[in-house]
Amino acid sequence: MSLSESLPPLAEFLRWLAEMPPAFRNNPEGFVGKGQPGVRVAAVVADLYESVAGRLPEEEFLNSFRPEKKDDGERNRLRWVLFAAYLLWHEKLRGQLAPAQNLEARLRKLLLQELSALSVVSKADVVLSDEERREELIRRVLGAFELRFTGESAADAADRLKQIDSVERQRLHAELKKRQEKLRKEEELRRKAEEEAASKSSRE
Amino acid sequence: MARKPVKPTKSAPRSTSAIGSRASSRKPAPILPGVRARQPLITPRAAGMLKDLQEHPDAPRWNYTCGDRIAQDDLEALDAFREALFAQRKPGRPGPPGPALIQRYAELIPKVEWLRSRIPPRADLERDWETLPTMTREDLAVRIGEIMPDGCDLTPMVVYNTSGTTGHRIDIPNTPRGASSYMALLDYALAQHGVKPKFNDGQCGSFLLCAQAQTIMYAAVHAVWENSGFAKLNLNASVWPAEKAARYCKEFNPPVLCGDPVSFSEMRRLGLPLKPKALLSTAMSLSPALKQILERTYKCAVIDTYSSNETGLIAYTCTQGCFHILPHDLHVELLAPDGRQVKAGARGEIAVTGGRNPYVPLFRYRTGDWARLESAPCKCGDAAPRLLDFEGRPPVLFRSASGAPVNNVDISRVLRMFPIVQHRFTQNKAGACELVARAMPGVDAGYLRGLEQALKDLLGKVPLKVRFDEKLGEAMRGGKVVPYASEMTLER
Repeated sequence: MSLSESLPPLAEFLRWLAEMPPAFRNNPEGFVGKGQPGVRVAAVVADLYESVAGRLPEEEFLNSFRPEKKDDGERNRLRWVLFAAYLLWHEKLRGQLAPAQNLEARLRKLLLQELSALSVVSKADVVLSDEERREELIRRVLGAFELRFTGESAADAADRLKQIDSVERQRLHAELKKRQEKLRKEEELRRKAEEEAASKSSRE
Repeated sequence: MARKPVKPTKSAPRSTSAIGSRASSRKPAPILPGVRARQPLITPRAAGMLKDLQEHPDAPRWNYTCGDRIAQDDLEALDAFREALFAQRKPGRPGPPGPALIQRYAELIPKVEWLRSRIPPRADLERDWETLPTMTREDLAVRIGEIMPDGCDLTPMVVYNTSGTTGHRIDIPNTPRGASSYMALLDYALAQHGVKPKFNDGQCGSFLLCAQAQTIMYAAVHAVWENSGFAKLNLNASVWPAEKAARYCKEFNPPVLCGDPVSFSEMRRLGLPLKPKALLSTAMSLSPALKQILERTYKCAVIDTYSSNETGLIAYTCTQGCFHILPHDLHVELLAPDGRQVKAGARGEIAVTGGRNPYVPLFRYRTGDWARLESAPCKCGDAAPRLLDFEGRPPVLFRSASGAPVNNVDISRVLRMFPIVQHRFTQNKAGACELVARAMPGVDAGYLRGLEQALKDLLGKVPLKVRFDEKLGEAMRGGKVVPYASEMTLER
């Protein structure tokens, strides 16, 4: 991609997300009490897909946005999808999508893979209160279509996303934990090797 | 089966003449806090036994302190293990392990980095078993932190080190329970030979005999064997005079003697007045000739075992002289170099999976030993499969100028102090020794100066040649050199 002259600055998208209407803030259908309205995520995705790609997606694809199980993880994933769909509804952003190559494939990858990975390590609810998570979502969505803000190089954009990337942070955290755990075992082994062992009858 | 808590046994009067007695007649002694910490289940009478073992006028100079660290729950678990072991004697089957081990390893994969990073995420342990990776001694030496399960409780850990024939030290973590399961396994081997010692806390139950220039020596009691006494002894006359050893052995005369072919050979040479019910040989292969000599001399069961620090006990010899797989919770398979199992009846490298060490979940661990696996019934009646044409670690005996045995472990200990990459140490029938060593490249010759003297200190005035060869091992397959060889025999 390409840098787009007409893409508004980051602040505009941050405001757009912060002012998300209650309909999008609601829980997805299947995760609300009886009689309460729930958002039909598959319908939102179908509308978005049609307006971006000019055709309705197949049912099998839409099934991925109908809750399979009723646990927190699924609710969280669907909320990330809702927030991304709302972001892509911004008319200045939608206007940029048309020229993108492999548009449908990029949209599918974003909704099915990237947001699923994100939902494993980060709570969608935080988007409503945390500006950094809002920026992460914006940069992930722009990145999915290889879009970037005016004046930002590809390297700048990647670097900024890396700083706020929940998935990357989680990976680093897991890596650190793994190293600490290995160190804990090896240090204890070294320490205990200096201590007396327990008596046994064998000499191997 | 729940075991009753260990209660102090009513004390019996001390024998008037303890010499040669195997009587359960020790005077109770107060249990000091340190003794209790090392042997949580010790009874006052066992404490008396321990005191007698430690303070006997002919006792060796103890240079180590330790106990079995077995608590009541360990004892109950070990009883349950023993019960299952006696009940589950089944013929082996080729292919993957049984459902219990498959389940155990499926649960371990997320916790063990070695497994997690090597087993493909979609692999089915049972279906794909033969294509799964194998663990080696090198993994234990350099990647033990990846093998120990994440989040495991390290509090009960004890560490045993093993130097092996290469002289490279490996630290093997275990729990006291895991280490003591060895004795429950020996119970089965003994029973198969008709030996059922009636251990009690007023008696010395077993000795572990060594014959080395240097090793640890200590006395303890073993809860698994009813709190009977135990001593690890070094028969090397330079550290424990033979007359003293003879009087000490006569006094405590335990029914079970553990040791290796070198120490048993030395025990016989010294004519120690022991009347064991069984000799359990471990650590290296026992030759049929030496086995026969020992049986004739001591008129008792002589049982060879196959074990290592990494794997624990794997097999024992039955009354027919065959090595039967001993633990029911260990999967033994014979592998070709590519990790696939060899065809039925063919020789292969022995690999094991499972065991009781919670810190080292061995996975297709290649032992470096070779055999054929036979599942047909054995005349002895044990249904467990047998390892035939077994080729384990042959004993390598060296002798010092005085004729005292020198273990290759002693030589490894000396060589470890010098920057040597590989070595070959040999001794001929006349006692002449030669060391060919490959020094670490670029090392200053000054660092190697004391090597010859250090070996002379160990071996005494034997003819000794030391030479350095920077190409040692290059012509050998895989660059490996047989590090020790000797023309000395144990059977003399």
